[in-house]
Amino acid sequence: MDGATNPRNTGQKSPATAIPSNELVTSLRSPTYQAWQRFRTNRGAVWSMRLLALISILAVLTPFLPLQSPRLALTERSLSSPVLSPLVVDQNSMIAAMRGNEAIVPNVTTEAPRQTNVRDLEYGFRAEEIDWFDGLLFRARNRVFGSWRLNSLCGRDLLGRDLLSRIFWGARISLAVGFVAALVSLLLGVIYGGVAGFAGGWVDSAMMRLVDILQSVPFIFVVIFLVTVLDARGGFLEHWGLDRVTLFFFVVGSVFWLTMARVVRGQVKSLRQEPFVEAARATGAGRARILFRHILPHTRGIVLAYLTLTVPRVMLFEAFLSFLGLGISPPDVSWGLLMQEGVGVLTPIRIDWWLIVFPGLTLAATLYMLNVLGDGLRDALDPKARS
Amino acid sequence: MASGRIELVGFLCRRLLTAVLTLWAVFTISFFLMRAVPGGPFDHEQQVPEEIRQATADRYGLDQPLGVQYLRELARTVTLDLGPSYRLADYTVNEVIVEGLPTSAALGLMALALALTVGVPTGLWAGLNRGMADRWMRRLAVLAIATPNFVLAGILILLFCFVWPVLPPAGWGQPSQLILPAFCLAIPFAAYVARLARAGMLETWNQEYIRTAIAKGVPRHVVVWKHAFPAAVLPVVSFLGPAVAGILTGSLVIERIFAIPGIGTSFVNAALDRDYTLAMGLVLLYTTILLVTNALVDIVQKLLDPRLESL
Repeated sequence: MDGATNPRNTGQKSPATAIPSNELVTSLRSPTYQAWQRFRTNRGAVWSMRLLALISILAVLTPFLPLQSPRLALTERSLSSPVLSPLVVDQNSMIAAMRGNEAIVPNVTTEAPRQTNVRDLEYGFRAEEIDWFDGLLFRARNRVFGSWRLNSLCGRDLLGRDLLSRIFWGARISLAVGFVAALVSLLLGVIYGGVAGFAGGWVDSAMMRLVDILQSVPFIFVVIFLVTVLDARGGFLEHWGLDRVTLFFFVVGSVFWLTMARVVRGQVKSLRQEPFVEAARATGAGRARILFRHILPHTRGIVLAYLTLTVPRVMLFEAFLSFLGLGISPPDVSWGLLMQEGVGVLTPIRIDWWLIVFPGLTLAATLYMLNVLGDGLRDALDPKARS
Repeated sequence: MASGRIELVGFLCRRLLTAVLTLWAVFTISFFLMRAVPGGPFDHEQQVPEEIRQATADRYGLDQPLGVQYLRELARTVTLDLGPSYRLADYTVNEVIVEGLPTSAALGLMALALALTVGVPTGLWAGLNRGMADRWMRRLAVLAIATPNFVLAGILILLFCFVWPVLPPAGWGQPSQLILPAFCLAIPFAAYVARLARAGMLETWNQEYIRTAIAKGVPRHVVVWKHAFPAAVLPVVSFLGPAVAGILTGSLVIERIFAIPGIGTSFVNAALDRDYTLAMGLVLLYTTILLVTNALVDIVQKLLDPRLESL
C-alpha cells in the first residue's frame, strides 16, 4: 500500500531525510507541516492529486465546455468510430439535418426541438433539469463558442450520441456519488466511532460488536435487494418524492461507514488519555463538548486519509450497480452505465472498441489515482498504519 | 489438547449463535421491507400468470395478519423451504439455487484458486527480493485493485475474442469458456493476496527466529518454506473471508458479461424483475456462505498460529 508509485519513498520513514534541514527544526514543526512534507515526497500521490483536481474542475465546468449534447441522438451515425477531423462541428446544423429525418428517429421527444429554440441552452434537456449554475455555464458557453462543438473524438454510441460528451457528463454523476456518499459515511462513521471510543466500557464493546456483525453481512446483496424494494413503482421513492441518485447517496454512504467508525474509535480511545482532555474536563467542559470540540478535531488527518480511500470504493460500487442496471438510470449518465452500453453492443461481427476502451480507461484511471492519493495521504498522516 | 478442543467447541457454538442471529436479522428486515412497500407486488403489472398469483396467495396466507404471516414464513425458511419465485412460472427458489449453485461454485473456486496460486508466490518472491521488480509489482497491484472487473473483462474480451480470437466471448460448459471469467474474477484478489504475502514475508524475515535459523546454517530454501512461510501467509489466510465475499460480488457482474447461468445471473435478474422471494432467498444464501467461510477461516488461522489465544 505504501506509496506504491514512489521510488523515493524510503525517505518517508523519517521526516528528517525528507527535508534537508536539521532534525531539531523539523521536529519543532507542526504535525500537519511534517505530514505535508512526507506527502510531498510521494510523487505519484502528488500527481494523482493534481490530475484529480483537474478532472473534478472539468466535471463541474462540463456545461461550459464545447461538447455536443449528451442526449443528441443522431441515429444515422450510430456506432460511428472516433474522428479527429474536422475538429469542430456546428451542432445546430446537425440538429437541423436530423430533424429532416425525424420520421425515422423515434427517440426524439416532441418538445425537445422547441426547448432548444425557446431556451437555447442545450438540446434534449428539460428546463427544470437545469439549475441556475448549469444555466449560467450553458449561457456562457453559447456566448463564447456559439453552436460550435468538438467533433466526436471518442466515437458515437448505439443511438449516435457523442461518447466524449457522455464521458464528461458521466464524470459529474460518478464523482458526485463518490464524494457525497463518502461524506455521508464520514458523518456516520465519525460520530459512531467517536461516541464508542469516548464512552469506553460496555457501551464501546456493544457498539463495536455491532460493527463486527454488520461487517459479516454481505452488504452489496442487501443493498441491491433494498434498491429493488425501495424503487418499486408506486413504492417508497415515489412516496417520498426522492430519486434514485439521492437514494444512492444514503444507502451507499450508510454501508461504507464501518471502516471509518473503527479507525475513529481507535484514535479517540488513545486521545482520551491525553492531558489536554484532562485539562478540558478540569475547566468544566461537558462530555459532548470534549468529544466534539477537543478530541474529534485531532482525528481530522486520519479521517481525511480514509475518506479519500472511501471515495474510490463508493465510485466502484456505483459503477458496479449501474453496470448491472440497478444504479443510475437514463437519461442520467454515469461511467458504469457507459460501460454497460459498451459491453452491451459487443457482437462478433463488429468491434466498437471505443465504447469499452474510453469509458473503461477513464473509470480505471480515476479509481487508480484516487487509490494512490488515498494511500499517500494515509502514509503521510498515519505513519503507524503503514502495511 | 483437551482444553483446546473444548475451546474450539465453545468457539463454534458462539459463531453459530452469531450466524443464526445475523440470518434472522437479515430475514426479518427483508420481510418487513417487502411488506412495507405500498401496494401489492402485482398491483402495477399488466399480466401475472394465474398460477403464480394462486401459488403466492396460498403460500403467504395473504388474508392473515402480518405477524402470523411472518411466523409462518420464518418457520418455512428455517426448514429450508424458500418458496416459489414471484416471476419464474413453475420455479421454486430452491430449484433456481440447485440449478445455478454448482456453476457459480465452480467459477468462484476456480477464481479463488487462481488468485492464490498467482498471488502467494508473487508476493513471497517480492518480499524476499526487494528492488525494481518489487516496485513494479506494487504499482501493478494498485492498478489491478483499482480496475473494476467489468472494465478488465471488456478489454480482455476485445483482445482475446476479437483482435486475437483464441477464446470464446461467452457461454458455459467447456474448459476454454472458463478461462476469461475466472481470470477477470481472480485478478484483483491476486493483487490483494500478493500484497499481503509480501508484507507478511517482509515482517517475518526480520524476526529473530529467522536470523537464528540462518545463523545455524539452515539452507535458505528450508528457512523460507519451513520457518518463514507459515507465519508469512497468515495475513493471506485472514483475507480469505473478505476475498470470498468479493468473489461472490464480482461473480454477479462476470456471470452477466460472459452469459454464465449461475446464481449471480439469477440474483441480478431477480433484482431487475423485482422477484422479491428469489432475491431474498439468494441474499440469505450469500449470507450463509459468507458466515461459514468466516468461521472456517478463523479455525484455519488458529491452527496455523497457536499463539492466537481467543478465537
